[in-house]
Amino acid sequence: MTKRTDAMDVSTAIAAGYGNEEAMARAVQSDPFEHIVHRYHRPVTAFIYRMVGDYETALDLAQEVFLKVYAALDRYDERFKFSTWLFKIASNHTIDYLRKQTHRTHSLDAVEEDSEIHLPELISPEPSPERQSILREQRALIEAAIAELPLPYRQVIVLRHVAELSYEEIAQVTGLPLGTVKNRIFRAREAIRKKLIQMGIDGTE
Amino acid sequence: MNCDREKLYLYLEGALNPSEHAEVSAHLQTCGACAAELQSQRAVMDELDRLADVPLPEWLPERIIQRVSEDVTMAWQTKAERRRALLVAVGLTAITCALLSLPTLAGYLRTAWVGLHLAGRLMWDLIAVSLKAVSLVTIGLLHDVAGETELTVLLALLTGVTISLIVAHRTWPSASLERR
Repeated sequence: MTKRTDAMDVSTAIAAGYGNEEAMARAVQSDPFEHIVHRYHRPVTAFIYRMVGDYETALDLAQEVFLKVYAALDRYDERFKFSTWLFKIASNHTIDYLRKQTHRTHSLDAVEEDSEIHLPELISPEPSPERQSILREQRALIEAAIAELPLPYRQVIVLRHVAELSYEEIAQVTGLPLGTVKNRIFRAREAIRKKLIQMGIDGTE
Repeated sequence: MNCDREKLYLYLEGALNPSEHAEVSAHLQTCGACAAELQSQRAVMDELDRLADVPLPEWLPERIIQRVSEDVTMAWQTKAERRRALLVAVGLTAITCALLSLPTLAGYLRTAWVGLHLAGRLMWDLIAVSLKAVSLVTIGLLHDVAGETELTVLLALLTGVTISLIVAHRTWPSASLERR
């Protein structure tokens, strides 16, 4: 499928994610949109999944995000890096979805920049003697801790660790000042670290 | 440097500039608390980085492309359907307007027809009155009952009727004089 757009610009932009001439040439030759899908569906879907916490919903939302991307391709602003622009769409769409889940809304947006983030008590999985299951427990705890973060913190930490954007790019995606982005990411990490220590999982063991 | 937990995360990420990085490295050599903190932070960072590993179904990219192409086709179909719907709507509106205005139009035609009809009746009445007047005055003259005055009135009447008929004939050609 092709779209009447400035294909060269988009291809050049997405080729930046490849970092080699051969990949770039392939990008320019093939359909830019299909290329975007193959290049970005993983980080975008992972980002959405970590934001919403539900696998099926994430797969649906990812498809919707790419529909939006396709529709907005003509309006791609070259001042942004392509991935930044893409994650801005993904992030906005996901947050719109989460806000529509009205029963959760009241707790989603509570941001007090200087107070500590208090995560609710997690139900600890049954302790297991095997290392494998300890790791699995740890993973589950981290995932649960992420899911419990207030939305503004979850958004930035997921953009940083799952979408792997830089602090500057996160500031562009969220429209927040760089200082706020850094502060929120730091506090989210600390909240998760404390949670792990509280659960008896610590890097110092 | 003082102990700065936030900086330790940036150190782990490699997000510090070279001089800051060197400064933190040096500090970590001398500060046991920060060294322990760093280890704890590293465990968190490793876990957070693993969040990017979400196993996805193989079909996802193709499904996305398929869905977008379906959506585009549907958008076109919808566009064509919308155009057809618009044409039908305009057509129906025109017919409805015509039907609604028909009684009014018929009313106008009827009024015009009745007008013509009445005018025709009036003309014939005028002619009839004139003929009666002529015969009356003629009888009156023959019997010496009518004089100059009656004759003048008769002539005035006949002149008036003639002018009316000429005007009527010009205004409603032929139809005006049709009876019934």
